[in-house]
Amino acid sequence: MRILLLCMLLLLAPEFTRAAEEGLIDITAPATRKLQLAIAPTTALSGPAAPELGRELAELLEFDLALAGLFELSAAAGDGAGADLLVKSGYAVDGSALTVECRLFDQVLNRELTAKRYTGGIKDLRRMGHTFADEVLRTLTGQKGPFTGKLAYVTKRSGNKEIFVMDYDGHNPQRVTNNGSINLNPDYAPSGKEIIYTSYKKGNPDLYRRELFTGLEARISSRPGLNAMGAFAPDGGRIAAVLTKDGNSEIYLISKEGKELARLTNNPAIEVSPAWSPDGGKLVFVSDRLGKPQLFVMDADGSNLRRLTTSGAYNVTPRWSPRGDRIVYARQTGGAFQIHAINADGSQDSQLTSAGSNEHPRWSPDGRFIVFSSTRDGAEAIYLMRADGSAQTRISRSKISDSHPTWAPNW
Amino acid sequence: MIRRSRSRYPGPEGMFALSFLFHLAVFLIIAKSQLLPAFHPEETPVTYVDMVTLPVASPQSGSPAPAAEAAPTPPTAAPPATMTLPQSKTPPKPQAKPQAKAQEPSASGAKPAKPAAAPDDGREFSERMARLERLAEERRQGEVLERLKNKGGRVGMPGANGTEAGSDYSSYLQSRLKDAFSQVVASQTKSPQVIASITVGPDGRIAEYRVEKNSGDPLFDDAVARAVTIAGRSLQPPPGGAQFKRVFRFRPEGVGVR
Repeated sequence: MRILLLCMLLLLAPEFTRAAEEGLIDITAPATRKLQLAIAPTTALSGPAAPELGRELAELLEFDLALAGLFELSAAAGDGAGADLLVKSGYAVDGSALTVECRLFDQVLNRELTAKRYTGGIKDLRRMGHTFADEVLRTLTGQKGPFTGKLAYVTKRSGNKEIFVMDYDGHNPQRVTNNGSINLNPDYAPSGKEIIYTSYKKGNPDLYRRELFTGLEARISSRPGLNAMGAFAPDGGRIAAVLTKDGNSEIYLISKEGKELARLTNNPAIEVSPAWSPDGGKLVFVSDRLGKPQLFVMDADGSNLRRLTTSGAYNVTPRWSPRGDRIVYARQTGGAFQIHAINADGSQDSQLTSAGSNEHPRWSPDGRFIVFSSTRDGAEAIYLMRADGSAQTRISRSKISDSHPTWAPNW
Repeated sequence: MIRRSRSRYPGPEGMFALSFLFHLAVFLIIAKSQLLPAFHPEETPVTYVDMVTLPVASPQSGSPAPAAEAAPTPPTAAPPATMTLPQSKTPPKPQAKPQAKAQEPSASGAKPAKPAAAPDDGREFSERMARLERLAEERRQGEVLERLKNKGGRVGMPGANGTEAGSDYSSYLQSRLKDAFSQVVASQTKSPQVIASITVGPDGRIAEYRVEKNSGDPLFDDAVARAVTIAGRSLQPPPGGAQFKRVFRFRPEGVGVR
């Protein structure tokens, strides 16, 4: 009886679906457009007026939301007439304390979409602004923005290659290492509270893990030879790293305390630059086992190896998108590197940059942006762009060499 | 005894199944008669049938000899079956023969006048027939149109007072929504689509907007809501002073179009 009923339902289902679809009236529109967003001038809510604070907040919101690529910012008329969305903000200064209120209105539906109040010190103004920009994206798209995440990067501003962190827009640089040696390849833990990096401070390129809030640090791998290119797994408990302890550059899996868990590659060729898929089930890495450096994908236990890139003679530094669909990497073309992105199945390889030499691409935690280093303006500097290669923007504010950026998931 | 009574009572599952089957049958009957146009592919509009089955000729119009006498007869009284009357006097055979004869003189060059007489008669008869049939047809079409006009009272939607949208309110609403949607469409996914039912009240305002299936892309869902709001600002009331409800599918152009 049950089988009979099931069969009847299965037979009738397409009829019902077709009948339902035939009753639909299609409303279509040409290619999607950007939302018109107006940012009203920031006003003083109470207390003394501080126009420079209001200006800075409005400029910050404008920069963040323009970069998002969803909006067309219109002239900030006070009432936002003609715009789809309107952002209003105000501040109140009391001594060194600062309160900021931000609201997002839907002008068409005539309703307030979100409203937030932030309290802190005046020094926290930019953080408050970035937090609200994140909130605007969360409200409109369902996914929080990446603007509060900080960038860790390598800079030569003190003469040596040291690791710094800064806001994603280049403000508030802060020193992380100060050992006068060479420090490379920072990578954030999924929590955003600690990083791993390679340092020559004790002579050998060893792998270190450092808590950013406390400054506590541990040398987690000091095996003979190279201990480099560590990449935190999405679970935060494992690290894929390149070790040459056995005489050849191979990819290993180690715990965050440094204990060796597995050797993932075993080949006479050079294997470097491991990067995790967002689900932690796969790794993409670089190998020259076929003669030239190319990207390969394997399961997290080293099995099911397959070649990803089939074009280009020198493909390096891959990173898997947080959304899992794309892999970004650098390809050497005509003496310079350019950023490319390719689908995780090896299709749709597209070049994203063309000016200067561009390397070390990393995704923003939401997958909307790619941060990278470029020599297009002379010295190596940090830039970012949208995932489709548009809106390439310089982030570095110093004229000293900045490179190896990586975007924190949270802060 | 207990076993017998249990065997007759099919139990809760059986009762549920029987109930389900009964309801399914009722639903299918209703659906077949009202909801599922796919089950009636042969159904065609009544007006179309009426127009194509117009009578095409009166018996008198095809009679070549007593044309003057045939005129007083009202065309509506003539049964369509008598259309074949002319063919009895001028069978197809004579038409074929004169044509064959007409070719012979042109080849030999002798006595062209006599053989030409027969084809002229046939052609003249045919032309006259066609003219008369055309006139009869025009006359009858005019009569049918007049009858239809009288039956409907006046042209337009029943109960309309002149301030409503045109006769096809679905198309009108679709047009207004499309215009509004073009102004606000935005998305962050590749092929979003929203299915929503829209009810327009008697006053021309959106009485209800209900999303039946969202796109999973909040940006697109909001764009559709904005489009409905914009379109709802300037809608004409539905005809007949009644509510008007339809289900619409919103999507960017070219996405999933079959």
